[in-house]
Amino acid sequence: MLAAAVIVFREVIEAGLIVGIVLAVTRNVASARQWVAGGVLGGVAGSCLVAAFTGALASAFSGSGQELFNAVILAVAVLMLAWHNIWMARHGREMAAQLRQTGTAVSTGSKAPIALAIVVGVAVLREGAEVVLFLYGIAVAGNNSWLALLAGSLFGLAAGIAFAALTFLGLLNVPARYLFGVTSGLITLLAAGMAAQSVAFFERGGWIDWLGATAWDTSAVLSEKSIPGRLLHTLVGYADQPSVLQVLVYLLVLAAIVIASRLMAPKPRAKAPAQPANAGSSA
Amino acid sequence: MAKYRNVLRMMALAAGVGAAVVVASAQEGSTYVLTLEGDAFTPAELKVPAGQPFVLRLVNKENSAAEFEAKELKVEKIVAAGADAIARVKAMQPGRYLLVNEFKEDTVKTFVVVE
Repeated sequence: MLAAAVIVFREVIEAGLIVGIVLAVTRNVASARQWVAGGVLGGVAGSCLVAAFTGALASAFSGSGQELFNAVILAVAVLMLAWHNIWMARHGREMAAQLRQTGTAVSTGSKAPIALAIVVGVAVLREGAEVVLFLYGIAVAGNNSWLALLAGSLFGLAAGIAFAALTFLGLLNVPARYLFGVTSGLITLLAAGMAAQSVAFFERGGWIDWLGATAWDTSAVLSEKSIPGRLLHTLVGYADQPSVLQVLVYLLVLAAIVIASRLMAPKPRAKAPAQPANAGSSA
Repeated sequence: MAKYRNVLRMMALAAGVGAAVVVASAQEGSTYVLTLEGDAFTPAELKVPAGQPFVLRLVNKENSAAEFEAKELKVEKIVAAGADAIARVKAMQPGRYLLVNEFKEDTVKTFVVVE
């Protein structure tokens, strides 16, 4: 039972982290929660589809279908995160001003939640198919421990959801004047990490064979598969055996989003607010 | 608007560079078959030569999906019940690399021996 709880929890925890962050980022945007819920539901539905077609997906593209699929949806998530951050750099201040004046949720920023809803959907979809297949496996195995396994799985799922709530509430405790900086920093790091992960899938599928040497190996110090390793992996893109190309892409995406956000920011009247550009470098 | 256009141009350039880097199916080595049946792997220990890339054909003869995972080999492949899949592995140093069915990782495991 515990094993099932651990397996499900560690698949759900990454999506939970992302959902928590997105909820905090969009807390003042009208109908953002519906968008996030839509993203989660879409991700779950997609997971069931992917699970149902595992065989077809695996044999597509001369056996690299799974890898290509993961690489592409991660790349989509990176684009959405980048778009969100750049868009917020441009419009964040007017949204905050509107919020102060009216005290109500902002309705003009309805485009940003779409991008983040897609990111949530991708996050759920990425690990969801695995959970679906695991649960399905329990069901078809039909041995007498299935009830305990199912209970364990549900416990793992609940723990993952609790973790998302904790992330959200934790971020809400950040003082309001830092929150924008903190969340755009988090989103930039999420995007860079996902870009590096996307590269890893392209490499695994045999689509990229360039700068594939291992840049460093810290698997003995902090395994990417441990719970702290997974959290860092999601948050800042930590990898214990990244390729040189992964590291380069990570830094490139980080720099691209920071620079583009600065370029897009409206001309400051007085002093520009500091961007959280110093958060990077720890791939 | 001009600024937007510059950013779009930068993105297009980045996408172009990315696409140029993507080279379909790099060189791959010989194929080795690893079969999962009754919560056990055959062969019990798969031997592959060191220093050259290879392909694993992962066969799942169980009645539920399995996830073949070998972290150091960077293999992480879900294989449907009764199906098979391939995983490409780059050239490895000699060593014993753990491979598990991640859904039952504590009990269902084997080693890929690179020598």
